[in-house]
Amino acid sequence: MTIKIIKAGLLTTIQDLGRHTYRQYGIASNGALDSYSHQIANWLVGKSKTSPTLEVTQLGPTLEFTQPMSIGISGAEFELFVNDTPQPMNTTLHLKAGDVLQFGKLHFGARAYIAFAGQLEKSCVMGSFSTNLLAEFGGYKGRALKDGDEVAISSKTIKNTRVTPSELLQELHHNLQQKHVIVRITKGREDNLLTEQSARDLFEGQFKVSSYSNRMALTLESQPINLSQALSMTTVPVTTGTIQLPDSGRPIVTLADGQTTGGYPRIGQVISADLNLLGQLKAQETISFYRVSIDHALKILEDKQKYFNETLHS
Amino acid sequence: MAKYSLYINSDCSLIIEFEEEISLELSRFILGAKLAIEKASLEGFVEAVPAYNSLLLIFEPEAFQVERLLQETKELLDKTESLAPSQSTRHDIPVCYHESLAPDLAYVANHAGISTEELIKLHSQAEYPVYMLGFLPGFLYLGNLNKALHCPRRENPRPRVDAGSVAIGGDQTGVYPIASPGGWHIIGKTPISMLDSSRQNPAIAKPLDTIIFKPISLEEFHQYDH
Repeated sequence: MTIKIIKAGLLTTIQDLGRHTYRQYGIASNGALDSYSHQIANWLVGKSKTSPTLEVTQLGPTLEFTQPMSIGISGAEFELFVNDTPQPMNTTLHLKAGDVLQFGKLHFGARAYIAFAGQLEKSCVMGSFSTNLLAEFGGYKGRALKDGDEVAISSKTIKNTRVTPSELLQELHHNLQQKHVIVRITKGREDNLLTEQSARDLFEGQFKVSSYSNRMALTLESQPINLSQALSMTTVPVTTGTIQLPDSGRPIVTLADGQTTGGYPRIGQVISADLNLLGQLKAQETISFYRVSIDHALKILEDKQKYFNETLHS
Repeated sequence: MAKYSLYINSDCSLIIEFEEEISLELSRFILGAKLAIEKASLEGFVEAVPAYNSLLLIFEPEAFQVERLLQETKELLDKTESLAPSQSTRHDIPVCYHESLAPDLAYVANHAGISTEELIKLHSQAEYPVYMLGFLPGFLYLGNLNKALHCPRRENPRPRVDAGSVAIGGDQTGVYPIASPGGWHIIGKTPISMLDSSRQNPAIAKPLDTIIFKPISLEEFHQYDH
C-alpha cells in the first residue's frame, strides 16, 4: 500500500532517533527534534521508539491511506480530521482504506509525529531512516515530502487503542503552551569568557527565536551578549545543544541537523533531557536558560526517562 | 606524548584539548588516541570526533559515569601511541580549472599577483594533508596551502555553491562536497563525488590521508558521469 501525500505541509520528513557515529565525517545525527513525542507516537501503535515516524512542522500535511492502517500522532497540538471529522491526537486512530487524514490549526508547539503500525518500505542509510536534508540522503529520497509523493508502507491495523496518559502530556507540554520555554544548560568550554554582566544577560534574559531558525539551529535574538575578550578560535567539534556566541553577540543553538564543527565560543550546552524542547519552538517564541551541574543534568534525564517508561507501560 | 587537558564537555561527552600548535605530529597523536579509545570499548561509548587540536568523546548520557570515564580516558591517553604515517592513503582528485567552472580564478590570481596558469600550477603541485572533517558532510579540512595563494574570503558569500566546487578561503583550500552557501573563492570543480552515503566512511578520505588535485580539461570533466 501507499500513503498518498495530497498536501505535504511546510516540512514533513521521515525521522527516527538518528545516526550517531558519523560526526567524524561531518554528518550530523539528524532524527526527530522532539524524540519524546516521536516515542509517544510510536507507543500509540505498539512500535519501539527506534521506528521511523513522519515529523510534521507547523503546517501539517493531508494524507490519503490506500489500505487500512493504525496510526498514532503526538507532539505539537494540532487540530486533526479524518474525512473531515475531528479526531484527537494522542489516541490510536484506526484508518480504513481510502481515509484522508488532514492536519488543521496548530494550537501550540512546532512539531508533531505520525507513527504507523505498518513498516515503511525503506532501508536505513548509515544506520538510520532519518532524512539528511543537507546532503540529501535517508528518509524519502533524501528530501522533505512533496505534494503527490507516494510513500510505500505495509498495511497494518492493531486491536488495541492506546491513549497517552494526560499527566505525561502535561509534563511534556506545560511550558509549550506559554510560548516560552526554560531550558537547562551546563557549562560551555569557553564560558570563562562570560563577564558578570554577560552571565546575567545569558541567565536572566529572554531570547526570541528568530525566523532564520530551522532543523540545523535555533538562532536567537537579544541584546548582544559581550564576552570579556574576542577569541579567535580554532575549529572545534560541536554537538546537538551546543550554544555558540558568534560575533553578533546573539546565541545560536545547534540542533540535530546542525554543523558538526563550530568556530565561535561555546557558552553553554543544553542538557540531554531538554533537547526535545528546542524542537517545539517557533519564530517569535521565547527561551531562557537556567544553569545546572552535570550531575543534576544526568539526574534530570534519569528521572525523566524513568517517569516516561513507567507512565507509558502502566 | 602530547600534553593534554581533559574536560567534561556536556552531560554525555568529554573533550581532550591540546595546547600545542596544530601540526601533523599532533594530529597523529590525536588519531592514535581516537583509535585506542575506540578499541577500549568504554561503557556507553558512541563516537570519537577528532579536530585540529581536540578530540571529542561522545557517550550515551544514560551511561555517562563521569569520574570513571575521566579516569579510564586518562589511562588510555597515557599509553597512546601516535598513528603511524604508513596508515595514510594518497587520493588524487581530478579538478577542472577551466574559467567556465572557476568564477574566481582570475580574482585569486590577481590577488596573488600571478597568472592563472601559475595559480593552477601552485594549487595542483602541493600535497594537502587532511586534518579533520566537518562543516559540511564529507568536507575535508586541508592544510599546506601555498602562502602565495592565501586570499581573504568573499565579502558577500554566495547563497549557493555547487557540489564539487574547489575553493580557497583565507589560508585554506577545500572542496564543497554538497551544494551549500559559501564564502570561499571558487577556482575549479571536480567531477567526482566527495560523499557516498552507501559507504562505511561516506567521505572520500580520512584524517592524515593526503589529497592531490590533478588538473583535467573541460572535455575530460564532461566525460565523467554526473
